[in-house]
Amino acid sequence: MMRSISLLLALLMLLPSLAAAELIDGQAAFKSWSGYWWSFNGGALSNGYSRWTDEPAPIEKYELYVNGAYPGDATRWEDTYHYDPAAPNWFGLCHAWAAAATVENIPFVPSVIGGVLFRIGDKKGLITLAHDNDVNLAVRGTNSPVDFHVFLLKYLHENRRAFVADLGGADETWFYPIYRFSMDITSGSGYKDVKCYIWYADDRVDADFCGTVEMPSYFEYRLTVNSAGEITGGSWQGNSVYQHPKSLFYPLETASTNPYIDYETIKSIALSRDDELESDNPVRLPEGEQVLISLNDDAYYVDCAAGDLLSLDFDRIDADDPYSHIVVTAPDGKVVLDEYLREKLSLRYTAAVAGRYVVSITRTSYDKAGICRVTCAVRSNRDRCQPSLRSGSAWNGFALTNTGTTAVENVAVVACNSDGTPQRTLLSPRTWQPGERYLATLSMFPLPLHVKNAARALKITNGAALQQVYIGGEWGKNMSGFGSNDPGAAALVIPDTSSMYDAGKAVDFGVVNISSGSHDVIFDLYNAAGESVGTRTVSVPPYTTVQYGEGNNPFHTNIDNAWYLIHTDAPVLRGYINWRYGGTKYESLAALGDSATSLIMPHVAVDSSWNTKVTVINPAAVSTTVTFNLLTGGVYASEQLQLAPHEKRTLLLGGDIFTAVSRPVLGTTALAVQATEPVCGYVSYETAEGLTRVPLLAPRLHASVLTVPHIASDSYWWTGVALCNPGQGAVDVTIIAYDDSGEPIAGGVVQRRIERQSKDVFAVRSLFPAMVLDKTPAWLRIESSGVIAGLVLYGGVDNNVVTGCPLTAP
Amino acid sequence: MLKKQMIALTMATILLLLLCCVGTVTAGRSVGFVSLRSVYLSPDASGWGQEQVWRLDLTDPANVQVYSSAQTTPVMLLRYTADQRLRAVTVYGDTMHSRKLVCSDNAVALSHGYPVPYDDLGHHGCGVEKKVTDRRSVAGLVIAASYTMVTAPAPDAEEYVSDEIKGKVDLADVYWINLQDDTGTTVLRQLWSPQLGWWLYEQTPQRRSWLISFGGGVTK
Repeated sequence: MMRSISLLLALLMLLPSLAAAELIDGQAAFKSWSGYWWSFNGGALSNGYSRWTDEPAPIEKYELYVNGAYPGDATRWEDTYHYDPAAPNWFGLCHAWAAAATVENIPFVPSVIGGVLFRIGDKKGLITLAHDNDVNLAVRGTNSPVDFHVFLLKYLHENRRAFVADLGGADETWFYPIYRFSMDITSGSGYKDVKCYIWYADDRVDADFCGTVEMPSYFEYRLTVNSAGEITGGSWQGNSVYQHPKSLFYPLETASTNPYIDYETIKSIALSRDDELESDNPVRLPEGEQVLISLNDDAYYVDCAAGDLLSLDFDRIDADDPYSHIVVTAPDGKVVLDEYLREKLSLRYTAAVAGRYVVSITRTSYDKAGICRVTCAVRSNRDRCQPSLRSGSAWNGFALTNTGTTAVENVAVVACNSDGTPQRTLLSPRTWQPGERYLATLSMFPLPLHVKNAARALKITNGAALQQVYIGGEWGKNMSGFGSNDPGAAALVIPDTSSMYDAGKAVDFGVVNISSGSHDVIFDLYNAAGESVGTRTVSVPPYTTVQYGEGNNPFHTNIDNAWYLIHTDAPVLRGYINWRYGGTKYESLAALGDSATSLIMPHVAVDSSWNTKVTVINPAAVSTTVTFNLLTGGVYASEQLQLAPHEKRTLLLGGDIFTAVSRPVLGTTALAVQATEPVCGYVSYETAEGLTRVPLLAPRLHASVLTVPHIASDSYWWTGVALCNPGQGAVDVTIIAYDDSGEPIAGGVVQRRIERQSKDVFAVRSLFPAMVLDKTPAWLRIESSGVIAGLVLYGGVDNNVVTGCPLTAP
Repeated sequence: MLKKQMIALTMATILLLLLCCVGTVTAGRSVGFVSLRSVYLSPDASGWGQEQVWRLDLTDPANVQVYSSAQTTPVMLLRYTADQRLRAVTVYGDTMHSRKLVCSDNAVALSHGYPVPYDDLGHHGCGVEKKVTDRRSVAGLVIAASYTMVTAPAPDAEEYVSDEIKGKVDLADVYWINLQDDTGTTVLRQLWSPQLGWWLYEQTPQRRSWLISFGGGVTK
C-alpha cells in the first residue's frame, strides 16, 4: 500500500514536467477579402487599372460621382502622392488594403450609382484609400513572438476579428490580413511550445478579383512561463527565426491621407449593388445610355408604336465569361434579337406591331457579374427636339405646353448628345393633359452632374403635338432660345457663318435628319453677294444631328457673313444656328425653312433702347425684287431693292432703309416683306447688350388662333407679345390666360382690336390691368376674327437679356 | 535659526511670485488639463507620419477623460487610484481594448501600441533604478513582462520639449525614466519635470508624444 502511494506521489510530482498538449484556434467573423496593393509605380487609383484604363480611374469615378467632373483635388492629390513611376513595385497601399480587408465586411459586386459604373476594383481601391492613414493599435519592431501570440488570442480567438501583420521578407514590407489560426500548444516546465498555422488573404490578385485567395503560413515559437504560470517572454523557433511577422496592427479609426475624400461616401459606394434599373420584375428600359449589371436574370421592356425605329446598342464591358445572352422579343412573340454579347451588338428594328418589346439578359452563371452598356432609342416622326442646349455653366430651361384640347400621351423628355443620340431620360413617358404646361430646368432633374453637363440637345419623344420653348443662358449674359416645333423641310437656310479669325463672332449650326432613313444632304455655301463658295453632300443617318462650327464645316473654310442652302430629297430636315458675339451676346434661331413671297415682321422695335435689322436671303437662282412695307394702319412707307441670285442683305431700319421715317414712327410699325420670288430671312432686335432674332413669318405661321406657350413674368422677367394684322380689315382679338394645369384663369380674358395692317404690342403683365388674377398666367391662347401673325419676346428688366420666337397655331 | 527660516521663507515666496509672473508652472494641488501631440511611425516604418492631438481632462484626478482633438466627446476614460496609479482603461464603445490593471509599486502599465499614450510608470524622482513588471491578460493567460526602470538626468531635455511649452517649464531638474527590457533595449522613455504631474515627452518604438499645453496646474 505504502509502495503504491509512493509511486502515485512520484507520478504526481513528475506530472508538471510532462508535456501537455492544447489546441486553440480562432477565426474572424468574416473572411478578409483579397485585393490589389495599388502599387505606386502604376498609380492605378488615378491612372486606371487592368484593362479599364480607358475608363475614369477609381478616384476619378469618385469625383465624377461626387462632383460631376474630374480631375479635381482628390485626383490631383493621388497623382502627386500615390503615383511614382520610379517606385519599387512593392511600394503601395498594402497596409491600407489589409486594414480595409480586416474591418470592412463588404460583399463587393459591381454597381452603378449616380450614373457612374463602379467595378469591384474601383470599390476596393477607394475603400483601400479610405484606410491608408488609419489610427491603429500597432506593435512594431519586436523580435518576440509574445505580441503575435497576444494578437492571435485577443483578436481572432476572443473577438473574432482579423488583424494585420507584416509578413514580408527582410527587405520588403507586405501587410496581410490574418483572418484565421490554429495553434497546437505543448506545455512543459517553464515553457509553452507553439506550432501555429495562420491563414491570410493574398494581395497578388487583379483589382477586380472577387473573393479571397487563401494563403496559409506556419510559425513556431516558444513562450517562457514563470512559476506563476505567467508568460514572461518568448523566442521564435525553427524557420520562424528567420521568417516571422515583423509588425502587427489592428485598425481602430478610419482615416485617409487624401484630404479630399469622404469615408462615408466611399463606404456607400462600396456597399452599393447592381444597376440603377434593378428590379425583380421587368423594368422599363429608358431611352439613353445605361450600364446594366447582371447579377441575376434581368428583363427590361421598351414600348414602341408601330413604325417606330427601336435602336439598341450593347457594348460588353465586363471581362469575365460567360457571355451574356441577349434576347429581344416583340409583343407578338417574334424574337427579333437572339445573340450572345461577345463584344458589341446592335439592333435596328422598325416596330412591326405596337406594344411592349422585352429585352432579356441572362448568363449561364452569375459567379461573376456581367456588365454591359446599352444605348436605347425609340424614334419616330412624332418626336421633336431642341437641338442645341447651352453647355457649361449655363442654365437650360424648357416649357412644353399642350395648347390643344386633347391629351397627348407618352411624351418623354430625353437629354441627348450633340449628334442626337439619347443620353438620359429626364422625364419618363407621361400624359400631357389638355392645356397643361410643364416647365423645367435641367438642374431640376436628379441627374449626375456629368450627364447634365454633357447634354447638348433635348428630344421630346411624341412631342409633335406640344408647343415648345427652350431658353438657355448664363447669368449676366444674353440668353438664347428656340420656339421651334417646325415640321420637317426639304430645304433649309442657315443664314449666317463666321470666320475663326473674327474673335468677336462665332457661329455654329446643326442639321437634323428627322426621318427613319439616311439622306444625302446637300450643303450649298454662298457668300453674301450670292457667289457660290462650294457644294458638299453629307449623308446624314436617321434621326441624327450633324453639327458644324467654324473649323469643321463641310467646306473646311472660314468665311464670314455667308449662308448655307441645305437641301435633300424629302421634307426631313430641321436645323438651328447659334451666334456668340464677344462672349456676352448669344442667340439661337431655328433654321429658316419657310421661303415665301410674303413675309411679316410683326414688330419694328425702334426707340431709345432698341434697334431693328432685317436680313433677307434669296435662296433662288434667279434675282428677285423685294418690297419692304412699313405698316401702321396701312402702308406708311415702302422701299424696294433687288436681290441677286443667292444674295443676302442685312438692313438697319432707319439706317439703311426708311431713313426718312422718324424713329418714333418706326417704332409704331410692323414690316411686310413682298418678293417676286420666295425669300426668307430674320429680324434682329438689338439693345446695348441684348440681341434676339426671330424669323420673318411666312404664311404658314399666319393664323386666326395663335398661342404663347410660355409666360415668364415676375419682378425680373417680362414677356412681350407683338401681334400683326396684315389684312385690310380690323380684327377683334380675344386673349385667354391659362394656368399650368390648363385651366382658364378667372378674370384672365381680355379683348383687343387690331386695326388693318397694324400691330398690337403688349407686355403680358400689363395685359390684364383691371382684373385680379389669382394665378400667374402660364400660357396664352389668342383668338382672332382674322388671320394674324405674332411673336413673343422674353427679357430681363434691363432689356439686355432677351430672346424670342414666333407664335404658332395650337 | 528663526531668522534664517524667515529669510528662506521670504526668498521662496519671492521666487514663487516671480515664477508665477513668468507663467511657470509650479507644484500645487490645482488640477486642469493636458494636451498631448502624438506622432506615429508609418506602417512600413519608413518615417513618422500620422499626427494626433489628445486632450486629457484632469478635473477629476480619479477619472481622466481623454478627447481626440477632432471630437467633442471623450474617447477614453482613464481611472486612477488615490495615489494616481492607473487602474482601469475604458475605451468607449470598445470593450476589446478596455482593460483593468493591478497596481503596485513595482508595476507599470503600458499601452502596448494603443494610440493614446496612457503608459503609467508610476511617480519617481530621479535616481531610481528598480525592476518593474507590466501585466496584461488575454484568453485566460497573463503576460508578465519584466523591465528595468532606470532614471537619469536629462541634459538634452531642450530638444525633446515641445515648442509650445518651452519657457513655461523649468528644465533645470528634468530627468528621464527609461524602461529597458532584458536585452537592455529601451522600450519606453518618459521625460519628467519634478514640477509637473505629467511627462513632457514620451517615446515608444512606434509613437512619440509631446506635452503641448496644460492648464490649471498639473499636480504631482
